[in-house]
Amino acid sequence: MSTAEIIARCQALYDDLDFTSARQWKEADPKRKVIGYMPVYVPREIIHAAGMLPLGILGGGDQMEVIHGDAYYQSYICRIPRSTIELGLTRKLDFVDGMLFPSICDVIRNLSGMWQLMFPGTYVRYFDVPQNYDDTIGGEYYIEELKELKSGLEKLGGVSITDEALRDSIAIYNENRRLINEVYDFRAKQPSKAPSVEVYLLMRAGMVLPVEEHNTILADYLEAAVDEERPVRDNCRIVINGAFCEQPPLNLIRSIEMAGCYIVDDDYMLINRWLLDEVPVEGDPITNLSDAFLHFSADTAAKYCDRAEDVGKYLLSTVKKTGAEGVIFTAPSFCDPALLERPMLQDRMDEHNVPHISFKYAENSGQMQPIREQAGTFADSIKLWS
Amino acid sequence: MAIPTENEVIKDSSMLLQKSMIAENYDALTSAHENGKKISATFVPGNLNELVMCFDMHNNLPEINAINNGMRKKSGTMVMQAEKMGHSEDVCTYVKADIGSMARGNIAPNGKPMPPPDLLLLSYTGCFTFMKWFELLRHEYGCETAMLHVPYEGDGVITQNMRDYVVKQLKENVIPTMEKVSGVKFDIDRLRENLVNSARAEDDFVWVLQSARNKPSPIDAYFGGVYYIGPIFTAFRGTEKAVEYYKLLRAEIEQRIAEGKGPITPEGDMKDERYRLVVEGPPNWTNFREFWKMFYEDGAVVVASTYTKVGGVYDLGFRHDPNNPIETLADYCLGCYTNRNLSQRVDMLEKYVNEYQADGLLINSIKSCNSFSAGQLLMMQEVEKRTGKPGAFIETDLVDPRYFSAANVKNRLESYFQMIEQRRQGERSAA
Repeated sequence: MSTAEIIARCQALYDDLDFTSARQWKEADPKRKVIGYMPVYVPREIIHAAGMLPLGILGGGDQMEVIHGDAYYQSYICRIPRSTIELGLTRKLDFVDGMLFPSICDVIRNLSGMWQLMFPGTYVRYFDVPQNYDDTIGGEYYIEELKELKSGLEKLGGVSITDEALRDSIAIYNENRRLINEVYDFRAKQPSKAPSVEVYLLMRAGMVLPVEEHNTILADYLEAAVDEERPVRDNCRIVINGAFCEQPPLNLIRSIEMAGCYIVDDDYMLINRWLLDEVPVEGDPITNLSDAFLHFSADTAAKYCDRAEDVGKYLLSTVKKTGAEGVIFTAPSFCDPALLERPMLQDRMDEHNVPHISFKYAENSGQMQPIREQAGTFADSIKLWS
Repeated sequence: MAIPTENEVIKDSSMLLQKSMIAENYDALTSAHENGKKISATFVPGNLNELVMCFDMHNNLPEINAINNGMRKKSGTMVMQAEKMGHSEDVCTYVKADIGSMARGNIAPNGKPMPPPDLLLLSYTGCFTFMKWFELLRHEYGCETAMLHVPYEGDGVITQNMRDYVVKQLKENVIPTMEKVSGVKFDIDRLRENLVNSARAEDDFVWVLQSARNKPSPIDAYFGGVYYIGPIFTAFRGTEKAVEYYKLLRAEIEQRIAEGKGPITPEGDMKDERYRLVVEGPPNWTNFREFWKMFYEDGAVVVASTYTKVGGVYDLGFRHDPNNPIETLADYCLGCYTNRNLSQRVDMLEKYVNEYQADGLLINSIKSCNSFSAGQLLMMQEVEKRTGKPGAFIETDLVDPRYFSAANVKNRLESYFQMIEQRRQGERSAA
């Protein structure tokens, strides 16, 4: 299969706001359940082990007109909760049996309460993660939270989630993480061969497909992309930071690349790469998931950084690892975590002479010219003076 | 009573006492290092004043400093200063007022520079911004930080797991860090004594809040609530002074009830109570007096508010418990208003509208504060549906004067009061 064919399929999944593939998956067996989740991280392994489909809900993008959703939010609140409410009220999520709202910010936190009030028949859980990373404090708390989630899903599905099933799911998601990291490494090495829009669509496919199917697509893409001849542009190499929740429109990603910046790393859909290492399949699976979260997870603004010297360390290491020449801080408008953290990250980049620019977007941003000009000027400045 | 000039404010004796206590507190803070004392900076929701006092530390509350600067018309330049330094126009203006103040020398209301904190006691309770705010402060000050993560009541309950988690953090992280920074060994009996004082003050505080059930209400539970009834609950909770203050305040309110008086306003006693409102959301501080005047000049009194519960929800029964000193601190933090889920908040508002015989719910939605604001439009719909009373929605900001549009707010309030009148007329005609 060619990359064009693979990406065409991913694009169709991305465009489909009725989530047809997830609906079809559910319809294939009356016992099946679908669990929606919002950014930035939930342990999908537990949902998978219950025989359920984890479904990433990342707002409505730039193709959905938000009519009802706007009636629930003031102008100064970001767009993802409005379009998510719109998806709910227009019955595009009527097949979803449960919704998980992870701890990311106050808006998504409060959306969990709105969902409880607006869709009373649905299983709703605010999924709190520890901001204390000691095994005996945050770890013990998190293990209990994971057990509560497990028990809630068992009750919803009328199933028992065995340790064996959890281990199998962990193994499958380990494979998913391995393949995803391979795609990211491949792009970092040869960005001309893996355009960022393609990588993005590949990752988005993982939000709606069963993980096994996503693994196949990733492997197919890697195989096809290696041999594909594509023009090599005289672009600079940049890392995107701050886009871990509300997603930018595809045109924005495309515009950055067309303006002269190869994206060699990003934090779009961070859930795919949240756990940085393989989760052990031996031993207690819940403890293993907890340990992975506490000690081997990605850094993002939604987390507390417990040591001042570690602020920006993850981003800096990404810049070094990928050979990036600069950072584009691109956050959704009104995104508290990303915008509050940005000055600290910028200072850290300055300390290490990493050039950076910043701008904001919304998932339905339509005017790309200013972004193209800004990114283009940034690319020129790197090429000329860095 | 003398007629006040435009800038003069009529004050009851409790207000004068509070003023002197706050002045003393700022003097203690600004001279702390000279006197060999340490300073702990922390937040109002989930503040652990009783614990801080066990280490002879002074409690500095950046939110209160921002409010102070807002009321003294200084916060606007501070917010813009922070924006010039790279902080986004989209984020909380308390944070930016704090950072901007720091850049301008961090001058306390007594005109003296505020010494840097020795400890950042990050009680992450009910507000995501707190977490990043203290990371930003740590970035500036480079001092010791103790993090207390308080899980959110997503399902509207405090589970044993949540309580255990907070207790463990207090015992294993927060208290040892405070011992290290202060050099004072933790004494649990000292904490118990402070908690006894808290509970005593809390009883009188609740009595004062619930006095608004009277008609006319002797207090304004929003403007008065934050101006002289509630603030004392932050830096003074757990002290003998707070106990005395609330005794004095209670006696003052008893007297008002006996005399059939309405609440005190900056222009004296409010005469004619025409509208009784429940208010959700923080107030605007930059135009506080102008904002309040829009209410009292039309005879509107706020009989219950939720903002006065961010420092603890005592009127629903919580009291600090000296018999379970650490556990009670955990329960206090877990139960603060903004740590409650939307259903709990709606239940509380419904209860207030009914129990305080309010004419409706007014939401002051704050641009800076997503913890409060996200979901408020749905909350208003729910409360209207459950109580049959009309709701209204206005938008302002905490300490950014650019987001206070007096004409817009006044228009909306006047329309709302007219709507209440029309409802009353309709009800009278139907009767």
